[in-house]
Amino acid sequence: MALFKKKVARDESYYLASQWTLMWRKLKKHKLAKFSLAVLAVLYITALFADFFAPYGLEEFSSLYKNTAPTKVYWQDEEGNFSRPYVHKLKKINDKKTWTVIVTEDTSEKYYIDFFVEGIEYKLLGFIPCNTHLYGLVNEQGEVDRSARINIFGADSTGACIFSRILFGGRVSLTIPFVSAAISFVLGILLGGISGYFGGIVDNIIQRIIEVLSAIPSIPLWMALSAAIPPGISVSAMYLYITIILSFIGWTGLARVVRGKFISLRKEDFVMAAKLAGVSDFKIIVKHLVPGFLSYLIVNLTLGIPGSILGETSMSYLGLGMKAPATSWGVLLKETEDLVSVAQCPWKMIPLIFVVITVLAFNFLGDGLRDAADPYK
Amino acid sequence: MLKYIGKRLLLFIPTLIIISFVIFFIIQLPPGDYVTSYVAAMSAEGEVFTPEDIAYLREHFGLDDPWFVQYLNWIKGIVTEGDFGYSFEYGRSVWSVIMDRLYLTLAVSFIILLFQYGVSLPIGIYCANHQYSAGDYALSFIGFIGTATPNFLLAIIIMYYIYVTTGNVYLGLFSTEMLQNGMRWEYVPEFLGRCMIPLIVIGTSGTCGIIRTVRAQMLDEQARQYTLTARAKGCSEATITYKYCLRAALNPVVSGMAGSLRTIFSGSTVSAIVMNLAIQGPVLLTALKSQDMYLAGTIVLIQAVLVLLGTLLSDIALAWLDPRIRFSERG
Amino acid sequence: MRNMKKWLSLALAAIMCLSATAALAETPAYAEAPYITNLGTYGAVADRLPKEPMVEDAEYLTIGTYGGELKRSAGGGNWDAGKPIEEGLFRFTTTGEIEPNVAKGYDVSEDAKVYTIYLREGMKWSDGQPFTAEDCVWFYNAVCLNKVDSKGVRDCHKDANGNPAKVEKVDDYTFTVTFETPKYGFVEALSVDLKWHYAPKHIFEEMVQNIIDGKNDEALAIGKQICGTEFSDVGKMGKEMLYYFWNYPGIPTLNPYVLSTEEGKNSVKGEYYEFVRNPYYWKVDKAGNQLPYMDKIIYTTVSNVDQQLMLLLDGTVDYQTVGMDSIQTIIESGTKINIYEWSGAEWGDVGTQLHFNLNIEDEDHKALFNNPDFRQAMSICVNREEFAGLYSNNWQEGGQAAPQPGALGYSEEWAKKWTEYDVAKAQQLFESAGLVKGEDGFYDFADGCDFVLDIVSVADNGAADTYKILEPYFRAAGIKCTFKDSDRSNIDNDLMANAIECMLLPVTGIGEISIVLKPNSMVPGKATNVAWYGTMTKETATGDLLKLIELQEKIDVTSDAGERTKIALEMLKLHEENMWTIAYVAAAPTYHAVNARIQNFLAEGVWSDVYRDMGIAHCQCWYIAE
Repeated sequence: MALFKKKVARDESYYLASQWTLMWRKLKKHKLAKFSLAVLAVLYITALFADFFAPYGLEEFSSLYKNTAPTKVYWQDEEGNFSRPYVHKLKKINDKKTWTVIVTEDTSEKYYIDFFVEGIEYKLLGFIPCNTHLYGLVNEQGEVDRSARINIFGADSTGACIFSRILFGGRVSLTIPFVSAAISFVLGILLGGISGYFGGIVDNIIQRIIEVLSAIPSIPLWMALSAAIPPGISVSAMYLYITIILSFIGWTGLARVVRGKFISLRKEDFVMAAKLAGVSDFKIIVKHLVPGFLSYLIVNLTLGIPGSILGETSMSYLGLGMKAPATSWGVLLKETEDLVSVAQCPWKMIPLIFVVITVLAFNFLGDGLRDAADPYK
Repeated sequence: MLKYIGKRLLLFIPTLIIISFVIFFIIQLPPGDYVTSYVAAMSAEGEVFTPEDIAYLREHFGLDDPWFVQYLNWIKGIVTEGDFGYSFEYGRSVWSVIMDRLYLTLAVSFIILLFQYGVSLPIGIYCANHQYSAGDYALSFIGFIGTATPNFLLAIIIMYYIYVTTGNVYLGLFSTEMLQNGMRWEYVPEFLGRCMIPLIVIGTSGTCGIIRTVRAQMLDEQARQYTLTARAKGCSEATITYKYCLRAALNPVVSGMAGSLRTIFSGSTVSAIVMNLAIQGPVLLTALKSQDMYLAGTIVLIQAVLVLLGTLLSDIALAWLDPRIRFSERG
Repeated sequence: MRNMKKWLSLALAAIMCLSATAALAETPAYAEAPYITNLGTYGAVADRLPKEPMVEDAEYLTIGTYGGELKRSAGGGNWDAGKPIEEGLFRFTTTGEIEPNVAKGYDVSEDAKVYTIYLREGMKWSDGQPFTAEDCVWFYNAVCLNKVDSKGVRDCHKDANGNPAKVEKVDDYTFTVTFETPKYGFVEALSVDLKWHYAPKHIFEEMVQNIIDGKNDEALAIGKQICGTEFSDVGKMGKEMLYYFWNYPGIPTLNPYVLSTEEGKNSVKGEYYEFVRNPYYWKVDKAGNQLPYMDKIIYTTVSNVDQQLMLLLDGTVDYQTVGMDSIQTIIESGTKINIYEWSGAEWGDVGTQLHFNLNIEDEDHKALFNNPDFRQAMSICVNREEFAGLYSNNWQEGGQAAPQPGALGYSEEWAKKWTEYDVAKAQQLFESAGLVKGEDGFYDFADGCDFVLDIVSVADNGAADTYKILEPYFRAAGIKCTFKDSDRSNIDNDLMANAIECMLLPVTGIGEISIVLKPNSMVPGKATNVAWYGTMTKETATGDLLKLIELQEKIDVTSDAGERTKIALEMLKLHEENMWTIAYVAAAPTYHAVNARIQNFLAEGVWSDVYRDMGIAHCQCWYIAE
């Protein structure tokens, strides 16, 4: 009896559940989507608390560690016994005869990896003064020693820790690209939708506007922008403004697709039925037509994000990208874009993995959302 | 339909007038003009200019007129004599500069376009039909790596590792030897090898969008009632896929083609630089950066004409693909 | 008997030797490249050479073998292909002296008003036509005086009052350059400002006359006939064909290599082009072999440094200047490439030079920038050792903007001036320069206005990276600054409008082997594209800057070479005292990566524009030994 009652209760909750609850339930069953969500959560949390998770700040430069490989971590001492993990400091010799820089380890001293160590000061979440970092090095006396470094992903051309920079860069690259993608997205759907739904003169005007906009070359526009932006403006703010401006031009592609789709759907029976039932045009567009090709929209959105992250890489050629001390994944990728980096410092390509992971996670999450939103499944 | 096409073609005229005006305005928008960038480039090479030299140059190039006067002169030349003006950088007529690279550009862009659609359409259909299979995941993964890697970086990585393993650098479609001696039969294998790098770079970066679009559209269409009906009636899977679903799924791809037509004329600038190809893209890039206005303006204007044509063609294709679409009627 | 034989053979050998040397003295046996012999269309090599060919006899040169090609990559620059093959009337030796080149020699009158220049008898253009004084005289009178090549009369041809010289022919191999007032160091100035002083009259006479007469259409038609390129205005055509003449096919030159006339290989804007040996080249090696050794210089066009580097690695390219950071990749590639280090002529590493606009409009800024204490403070607030390590991976040392060792005016004291890292002292100096520390820890002007130093540079030249490591030092010293890099044309626009405050960019223009040669390069108002004095002219200059301008004017009217050097040293002293530009790292050497098959490369040299960069390595003397 009890069993029976419980089943009824569940069924009722299923039928009474709102659309969102249903979607959430379906999403939870989608393993890859759930995993992607977890990955994204980790990325966002580490970006938010980057000051804590990153062992070093963005300006902890070091000529000793310039362009050095990921730090080797030892688990065994000289006798081969397991030991607390430690690293050695580096030694660098410039050999002018062979024109090479020889990097070796200075094995005379050990630096142990420790957790919750003191480092440079920062403000957690922007207001809590703090100087604890997740991990760092202590010397044999157990004191914090910042002359030796542990760069788990190696160091860049200023000797800064690439892992730290990835975390800090995530703050920009996991947020701003979405602003521009979202603006293009909304404008594209709205204007494309109106154009396709109403047709006639409205369509004609919007299509001509699209043609004019897509004829505009972006480079002189960027150059004009870069001249117009006063120095001293915060780099992230500048980057945000530029992406916003560009997204006001970037919506045309999506708008054409939405229009094409709407033209073919607007005479469908369900639209006619909705019209006869007195549903407003706006509601028909948003509630009846847009869900009809949600998959495409999700694809468009997920593809817009890497485009936006990489877009910054090309903007920096004109002096419009992020600048020191700010960092972003686009900046990190740009620093890899030369033969010498690829040949000598392959570890500089690690940020690429993060971009790929983010894009894949969003894509799989999008897939899951689409399946979840599909009432037929 | 013919009436509709005629009407659209008539609409080209006012649109082009607006576009040419906007283009010209934007190109001259950055501060400075061609003389500034010319003086800068020459100074970098160690030449010295006096203010008189600069004033002379500006007068000489006709850059001391306000920009709309320059615009009107340019348009007048185009309309009355078919003269697109003169490139400051090359010191020749714009048309002769464009003709230099026209054929290679068209050939290269056409092959790339063909490759992009030829590869991505079948993959998209495969991924949709095998949703959540290993193949689907693998192809998505490769596609997204391609999209998430800057083309420059991808090309450098591929070229460097080819160099490390074979000792040869495959830069550009033609080796120095081929350029020196002209094409010979014995060069064909190497030439084909050289073609692979650009195809891989562009293939992985440009196709992902189309693959994902087709895949998503196919999935949407397969869930529709008409597919269910067709299946219930006993239609073969092939008929369902290719005759019904694909037609509807191609809609966004066709709408998006309007933009592709424009790249035919200039070719992708980034890939041109990566592949070291003598196509229009880099010419346009330098012309825009140095404000070689008539050259940049003409290339962009021709692109705009192609966008207009592309839009028209894709609208016609939409109507052909989907009989429900009627453009001529009033909305 | 045996002894007898020995004596006989010795005597025989002696006679043979004697007769051989005698023959050499009478009619030197010149040799030519098989490439020319195989073409079969040219006469005897002795007829193609002038009576007294110039002998390339530098000590380090070995006698080479003919054949092969020098493979290079091209970025399409005018000078990249031009400087290595340029032939001036005179040229610089590696020690900075002037030596005869196209010209055989010169005389100068006692009052230094008349220079007589002697040419080599029997010398020919690359098309076989005789090269005579007429070509030099006509070039000046028709081309320069009428500004047909867009450059007009160069400074070297102007006397102290700015009046152009008179150039007249004496005979086929002699011409004179006459000034109204005494002109000192004309030949040196000529070698810096103009270099060649000739053009093929037999080719250009009609075209240039039409330009002068204003018959532009006729001139354009002739121009097209000459080089096959269609120009749409005579100004551009004049500049391209008479100034960048080596870039166009069909224009005869005196250079060792001439652009090919073959379709597909003859456009410097194309994907591939080649320069082919000049059959009438007028130089020989010590053994009488007509130079150059290699038959061609071939160019493959690339679009960036990475592509250049890659082609160097696989041996498609023989020679390239490379950055320090790519040398390790080259070495580790295993390709046999030699690296040569040439010293630079610049004052301090050009990527680390900081200049303040001394002529800025805002009075507060102007007073501050003109205060040496401020500049000293900006210089010493940076830890040069760590900075240089970060900047160059420890390959370069910290330094100052000062002449290089070996250059005129070098002193160790100057090279080390204001290089001691001392933040406390820097802050004292900021205060003595009138700045006051505000509540935020940054310095303000005395009236309480925020002082923010706006530094600009050109995008994509590495300045952003330099700024990134420089800025924390400024901040730590209490100077708030901003940085903006933008496209080159934007920067130049701002420069011309005097709208730039401070610049981190290699555009000083200072830095030559000896500033006596180009004294105007370190003086305000004489050149464009320099930040440290903005748009300053003699009228607006004050104090030491005015003194600098006056000294430069004095140099122009000074006869004695020793006296001129003395004035130049005075000018340098002013620079040393004021340090109008500061640098943080000592000047970077230039690195040449040369494929090991190339012989006769100049191992130790100086990279300088007046030496024509790589031109001083005389590529006509390079040869291939596999």
